[in-house]
Amino acid sequence: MNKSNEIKAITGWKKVYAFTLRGLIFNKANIISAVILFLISVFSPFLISLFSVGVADGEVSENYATIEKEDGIEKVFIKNETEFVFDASLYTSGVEVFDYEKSPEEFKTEENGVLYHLYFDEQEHVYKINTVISDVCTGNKSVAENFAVTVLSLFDEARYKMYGITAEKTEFILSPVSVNVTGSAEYFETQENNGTMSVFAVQYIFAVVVLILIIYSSTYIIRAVLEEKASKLVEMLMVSVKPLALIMGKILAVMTYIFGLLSIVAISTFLSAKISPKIMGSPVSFEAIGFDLSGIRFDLPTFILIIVSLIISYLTYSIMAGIAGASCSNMEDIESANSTVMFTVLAGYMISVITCSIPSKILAVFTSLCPIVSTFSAPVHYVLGNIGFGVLVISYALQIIIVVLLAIFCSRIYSELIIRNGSKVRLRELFKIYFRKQI
Amino acid sequence: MSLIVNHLHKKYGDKTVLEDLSFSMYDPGVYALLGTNGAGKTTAIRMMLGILAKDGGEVLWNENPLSTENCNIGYLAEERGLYPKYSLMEQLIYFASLRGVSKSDAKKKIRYYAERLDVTEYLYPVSEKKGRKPISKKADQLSKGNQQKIQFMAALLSDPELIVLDEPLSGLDPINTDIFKSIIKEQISAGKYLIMSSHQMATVEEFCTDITILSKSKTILQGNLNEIKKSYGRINLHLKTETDIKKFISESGAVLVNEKENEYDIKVSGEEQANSLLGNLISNNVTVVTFDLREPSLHEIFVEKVGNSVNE
Repeated sequence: MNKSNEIKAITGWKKVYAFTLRGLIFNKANIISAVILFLISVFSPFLISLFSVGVADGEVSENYATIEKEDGIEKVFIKNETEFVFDASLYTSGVEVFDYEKSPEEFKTEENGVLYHLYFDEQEHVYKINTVISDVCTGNKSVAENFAVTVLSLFDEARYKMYGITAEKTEFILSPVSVNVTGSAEYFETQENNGTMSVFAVQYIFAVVVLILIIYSSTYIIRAVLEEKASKLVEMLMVSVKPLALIMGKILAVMTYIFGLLSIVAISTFLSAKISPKIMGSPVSFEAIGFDLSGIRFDLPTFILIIVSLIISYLTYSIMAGIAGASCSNMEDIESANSTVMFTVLAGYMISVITCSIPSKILAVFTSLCPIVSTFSAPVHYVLGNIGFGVLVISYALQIIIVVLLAIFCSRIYSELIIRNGSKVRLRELFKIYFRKQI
Repeated sequence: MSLIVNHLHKKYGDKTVLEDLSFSMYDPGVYALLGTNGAGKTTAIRMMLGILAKDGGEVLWNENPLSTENCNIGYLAEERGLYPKYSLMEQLIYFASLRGVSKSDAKKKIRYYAERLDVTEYLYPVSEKKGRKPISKKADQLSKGNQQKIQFMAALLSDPELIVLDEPLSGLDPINTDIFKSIIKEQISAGKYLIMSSHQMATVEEFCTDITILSKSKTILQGNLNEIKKSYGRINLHLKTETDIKKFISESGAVLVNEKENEYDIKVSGEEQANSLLGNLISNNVTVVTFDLREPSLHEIFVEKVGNSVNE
């Protein structure tokens, strides 16, 4: 095909694209799906906040000790002579909390009472918290002692807060440091396990995004490709537009629609995640729902890498969906066509997930270059440092070649089968048709 | 302008579905492709329009290979359809845009043909609810005949020079057939080139100047319709008398085809035999109400030619 013929073959794709995209956007079922997705994306950060471990200002931490009526302590007195204000009543139940105005001497006679005295020792230059248990107290004294730690924590939160440090950061700053002594064998085994978990997390998240993208768009593409055949419109359209332009316009329209939808979901989730802590009072913590993302680097090059990888993955599988659609003649065949694409996607996904958890550089290179699997594996291995930039570029080049070959195969199959009626054409027959045409 | 089809050929495996089809149109008018089901008419049309790959032959428009780049083509396919879930207006504008027609021009054309084809109520519905913008109907809300009108409209929106109509009148009621015919006549008057395939011989006879009859993928008759008819001579005699004339018909050697209340359809060998029969009737004081001597109809020619080719 010379350049002029190539241009003729795709003339009109923009009109097909615009028409298909418009149809997708204004389709009632799609509008409902989009609204549901939007609502999920807006409300999910709020739900995650509910399950989050982090503690916001004014919230009750589950980690703090409390005093309850059953502990036999009836009154808690706080004599706070510092400038840092806090509310200890949040950690008591059925127990009265008072600001103590009297002198400590008078406290001796308070029945079942505990006094926490906070002040700054000018001589030692330290803050002090004294726990005074009334001599006539019959309550649980160890509870009173433990509650002193709660008062200390609340005091710390209050003074950090005064300097603009949030509750979440306070928790971070005050988190304890564990010191362990282990043998070298045990130490390296632990490191390896942590690495595997990190690989799995990155692989899992990227692969799931690709899976969602393909699963969501595959049916759309097959339906769009089949639309003209099923409605017997194709012959009339063929006079105005070539099969390649028709299928290209459709695939790109579905791509725009799906990526647009995902962008809206991503942006609304991001904005909602920013807003929800202000409303819910607790930050969005992915650890709370089982995702440890602390080890993942997320900068501009990674973002570009993800977008490029998603586009190439999308094109690979969407053209496969196009081929599957081209092999059908009626809407009843959509399900079986879709399952073929799904099987291929899932095979790629499973192989990449399994092989990614095996710490082997050779395997990483192999799966990054192997067609189908590489769409899932290559970007993950690059982000995790298992393959270099050179291997990634080769992987992308191979993936693009696969996309071009699939596109050529798809356009020839589509133009050959476009006016065919009958049962779904099998893969072996598709190759026969392709090579027959070549001859 | 000219359309030349040279040696078109198509095979599926070992089966030849079209063998060496050639014809030409040097003047505007209607060219008919006739044939039984499966004779190769639609295959020929698809190859001419580039929808189907040719195994051999060429199609030239003004001495250049026919394509949408050098010829504005309008096509009403035998397999017809519309997008079921898009509004009619939306898809008509889309079809027009694919043919390079601007939205405003397309709207004018749609308005014109909507009135001509009597489908205004579907394209410009009146809103049932006050204050609500009316939306043009969708294809699945239309009858088959009305869908066919919309498809015909889509074929004409770009004001094509070459119009290809594959069985344009099949499935239409007499009223809609007349509407379609009037538009076809309008296109002929406007100097368009039309290629039509049809099973309705009377319609073809009404419009077509030249024909090709295909049978079992081969051309079995081709040429100017009037000349073909002339070559057969005037052999159809229709007689209406006041008395029974079967005896005279038998004596003349003519063949009585049909008789009903002193009206006779007779097959004669030519004008001489017909005139001899008429002279015999007059000399025997038989009152002749009607004497109509005609060439064979296209239907008869078709049946004869295709019948012969099937028997070969």
